[in-house]
Order: sequence, then C-alpha cells, then structure tokens
Amino acid sequence: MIAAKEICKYYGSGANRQEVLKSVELNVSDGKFVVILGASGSGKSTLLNVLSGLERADSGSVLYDGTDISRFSDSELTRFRKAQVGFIFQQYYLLPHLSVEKNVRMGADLAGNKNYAEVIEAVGLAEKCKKYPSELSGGEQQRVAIARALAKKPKVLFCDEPTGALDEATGRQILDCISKLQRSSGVTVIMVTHNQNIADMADTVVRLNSGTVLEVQHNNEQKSAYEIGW
Amino acid sequence: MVIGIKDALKFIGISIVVCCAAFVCTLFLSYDLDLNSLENIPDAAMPLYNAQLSMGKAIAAISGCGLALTSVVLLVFYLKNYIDAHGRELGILKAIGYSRFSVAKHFWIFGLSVFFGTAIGFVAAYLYMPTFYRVQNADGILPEMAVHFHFELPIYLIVLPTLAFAGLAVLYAIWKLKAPVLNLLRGNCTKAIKAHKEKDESFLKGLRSATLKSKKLLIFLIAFSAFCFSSMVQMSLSMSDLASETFAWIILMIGLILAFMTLLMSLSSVVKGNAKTIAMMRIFGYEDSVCSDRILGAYRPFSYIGFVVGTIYQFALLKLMLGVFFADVEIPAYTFDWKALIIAAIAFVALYEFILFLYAKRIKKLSLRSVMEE
Repeated sequence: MIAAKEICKYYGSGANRQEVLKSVELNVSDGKFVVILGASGSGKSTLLNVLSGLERADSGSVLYDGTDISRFSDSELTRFRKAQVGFIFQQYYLLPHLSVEKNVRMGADLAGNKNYAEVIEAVGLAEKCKKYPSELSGGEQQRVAIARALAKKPKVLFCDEPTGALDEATGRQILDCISKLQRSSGVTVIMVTHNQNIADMADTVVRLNSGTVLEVQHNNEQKSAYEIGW
Repeated sequence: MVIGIKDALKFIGISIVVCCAAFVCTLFLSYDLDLNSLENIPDAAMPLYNAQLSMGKAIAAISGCGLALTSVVLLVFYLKNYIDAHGRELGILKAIGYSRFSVAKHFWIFGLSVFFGTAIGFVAAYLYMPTFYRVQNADGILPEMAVHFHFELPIYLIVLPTLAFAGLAVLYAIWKLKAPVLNLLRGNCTKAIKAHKEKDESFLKGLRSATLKSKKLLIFLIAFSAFCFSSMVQMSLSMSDLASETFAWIILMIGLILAFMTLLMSLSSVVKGNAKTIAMMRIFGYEDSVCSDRILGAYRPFSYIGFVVGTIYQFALLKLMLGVFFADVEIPAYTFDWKALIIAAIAFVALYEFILFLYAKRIKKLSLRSVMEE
C-alpha cells in the first residue's frame, strides 16, 4: 500500500517560486493499475517522481506499507529504489552502447534474476536480444525498457507517458504489453499520461489539475488497450 | 552565428598546452640561436658547446613536436565534443540553408586559443630568459651570452601555429558537418554503433567494456596524462646530477601541467558523456560507488600502462641524449633512478585516486531530474 499525505512541492525561489503540488493526498492499493491523468504542467510527472523517491517533496510524506520514504537518506532511497521500484520513461533511456540483453540485465542483475531471458521473450524481443537500441524501432525500444524494468522484479512500476513518443498502433501494443504483464506478475502500476482514453484501462484514475487532485475514480471494468479510443 | 569568442575560451586546455610548447621552444631555440652566434670558443670548451647546441635543438624539437601533437589531439577532441554538444544549433543552420562551409568557416575562431596560448608562452619565455642565461653563464666555460630578440621566432611559434590550428578547425568542422541534418538535430552525429559479438557477462562488466569502447580517444588521453606525469617527474628528479636545477624545474612543471590538463579534461568528458547512464543506474538503484567505479575505474589500468611506458621512455631518452650529445663531455654515468620511480609512482597513485575521488563526488551530485530533462 502506497500512501501520499499532504505532498507539497515547489520549484524556483522568490518571485519565481511556483507551487507544483498542493497538499496532494493519494492511496494506492497493492497490485492495482493506477493512471494519473492531467494536462501538461498539471504536476503529474512531479507527483510520479515524488512517489517513486526520485525527488523529495518539500513537505508531506510518502508511505510504503507504513514506512515513510520521505525521511530516507540518499543511500536509503537508493536501496529503496533497488528493492521496490521499476521505471519506464517516455524517452526509453536505454544505454546506447549495450545490446538489448545487456540493457535488460541492468535491471535483472540488481535483483539477481537469472531468468531475464523469459522477460525478453514476454515482450516479444527474443529474436533481437543481441541488437543495439539504434537498430530497433521506437516501439521495440520501449519494450526493452519494459523488460528492463520488469526484470528487476519491482513491487511498483512507474511509467511516465510510456506511449508519448509512439504512434497509435505501437502505443496500443505497449499498453497491452504493460497491462498483460501487470496482470500476470501482480505488480502495482502507476502510470502518468495526458491521454484521457488510457484511463479506461486502469483500476483507479487520479485526475490532477494545477497540482491538485480533482477526482479519484475507481473503474469496475477495465478495457483492453484495443478497446480504448486514442 | 552560434560560435563566438566565449566558445574559444572553453578551449583553455589547448591554450595551456601550446603555452608550454611555446615557452620551451622559445627558450631553447633562442638560446640555440644565441649560442650559434658565439665566436672565439676555446678549444677545451668545444665538446660542451657542440653538446649544448645539439641538446637545445633536440629539446625544442622533442618537446615542441610532442606538445604540438598533443594540441592537435586535444583540438580534435574538443571540436568533436563541441559539435556533438551543439549539434542542434548547427543542424538548424544547415536545415535553413547554410552551406557546410559557411557554417564551418566560423570555426577559425578556435585558432584564437592557440594564439593566446603561444603568445603567453612566448612572452613568459622572454621574461624568464635573463635568469636562464645567468644560470647557463654561471659555470664560465663558454663565453658570456646576452639575450637577443629573434624576429623569426614569433612567426614560427605564434603566427604559423595559430593559422595552422584555425585551418585545421575549419577543415575538421567541414568534415564533421557532413552528417545529415536530422542526425545533427537529434544530437546524434556519431556513427551508428557497430554490431560486435558480446561476451556473456554481467551488466556491470558489459558496461565497463562498452564505456571503454565508446570513447577510445579517452583511453589514449588518460594513458598520455600518466605518461607525461611519469616521464617528466622522473626525468626532473633523476637529472639533478646532469643538468641545472632550473632545467629540472621546467621539466617538472610542464609534466605536471600536461598531466593535470589531460586528466581533468578526460575525466570531465567521461562524466559528462556518461551522465545519462549514471542517472539511469542511480534511478534503478545502483549505488554511487558502483556507478563511479564502473565508469571512472574502467580507465585505471590504462593510466598505469601510461605510467610504465613513461618510465621506460624517460630512461631511454636520457640515456640516448647523454650517449649522443654528451659523449665527449665528462659527466657522471647515468643509471636508472629507482628512488625517482618510487616517489613518482606514489605521487601518481595518490594524485590519480584523489582526482577520481573528486569526480566520484561530482557524480554523486548529478541531479537526476536535470539529467533526464536534458
């Protein structure tokens, strides 16, 4: 269970000080697919960074099963990220000089996961595991990023606009891939997007506007990636 | 235009190296020219006179050529980094219709870094020359010499190198700007990564070898900095019986400046070039010590190789110079100086590890957010 309590975050100082998150409250149950929805500049990526321990909130706390990670030191946060979370970014951020296999092992080796090949197969890239990122399409690169994140067996997977740089068809494939792997592994997924339609795939939808949670909506029925509009 | 004097100032590493080159060459070539003009040399002093003449030329040639080559390597390295970092601006210029040459011609400005460096080195050599001549005159074997200004020296040591480096910068830019506009705009004007057979090894081992393979020039520069440190420090320590203290100090200072410059520049480039990799590793939960060890530590063996080569080089060079130029002069026999080796080795390891420690701290301070937003 993840609980965010009265999270406030500011950027800049003096006259340029801007409140990006305004006393955000949020609860995420284990194994759920949560979508944080908001327009550009609504603070959704900042909230994702704070929840995942990449950034510190200026006030408030983030609790993982009752443990407050906002009080962690830098090295404790590193250990926390190592043990608990995985990341998928819009720009993939694969290491260009390493093959698909080595990129996936970046996550797998941290968790001592010897069966990383299964994850590569699960994202449909078994044939391309010796290829380099520059030899892959955008969709394939994002699937490598998914495999890399899942190979470290995280408890929570944070996705920051994972389909933002992809065309519609490839975006659907990626969402389908994440959704299937989420169901099979039971990992909690927290995804940030500005695409309203992706919300229909989630268990929980958090609508964010100007750093404030407007609404938390629970879906009884989740649509597949191929049923949603784009 | 995107390139200005401010950019040329960033090439201060080249200015420092060419400053050293101009200083040594001005000092020894001027001394050589003044020595040449001496008349009425006593017969007994002829062997020393001939040896000094040859040694002046040899030192100017060896250090001048060595430092000039280093400057060329540094210029290419800096230019490559500059074009990679400013690919987007250069790509936009190409996209809106500027020709390759019309963009590249502005790179002449990087020749200014050579102008400033050589000019400072030249002036510094002339300021130091009276002291240098006084020391050389002190033994009284050769007739007294006075400092003269030689008009050909600023042409050979300031004007020509400046023009050569400005031309080289323009030519290199023309060649690099051959990259397609889209590649420049995407910040990717380097060649596609060549496929090669990867060993079945862990991520961290793979990362270490990939880091080394991705920037081979850095291997050379780091080995070169160790080479400079090792050869110059040992040479200055072991030549106390053979040359003046002043000369030993010049060698020591040049060695230290070169070693520092190349090492700092290389390690800065390693950290800058791998900032995204380090950021991703930290996001995934790799500890800072692991990140710095895998990225920076990969170059350690090459620095030690550079040190060993420098040791052999300085011994062979001194042996050769004494055998050839001072064959007819009575000087103490030269043997390998183990004490100098031990002092240089301890100083090098301490210095190298200290600089690595500072860069490891810099890695720790890298802001994940700013790196990912770049």
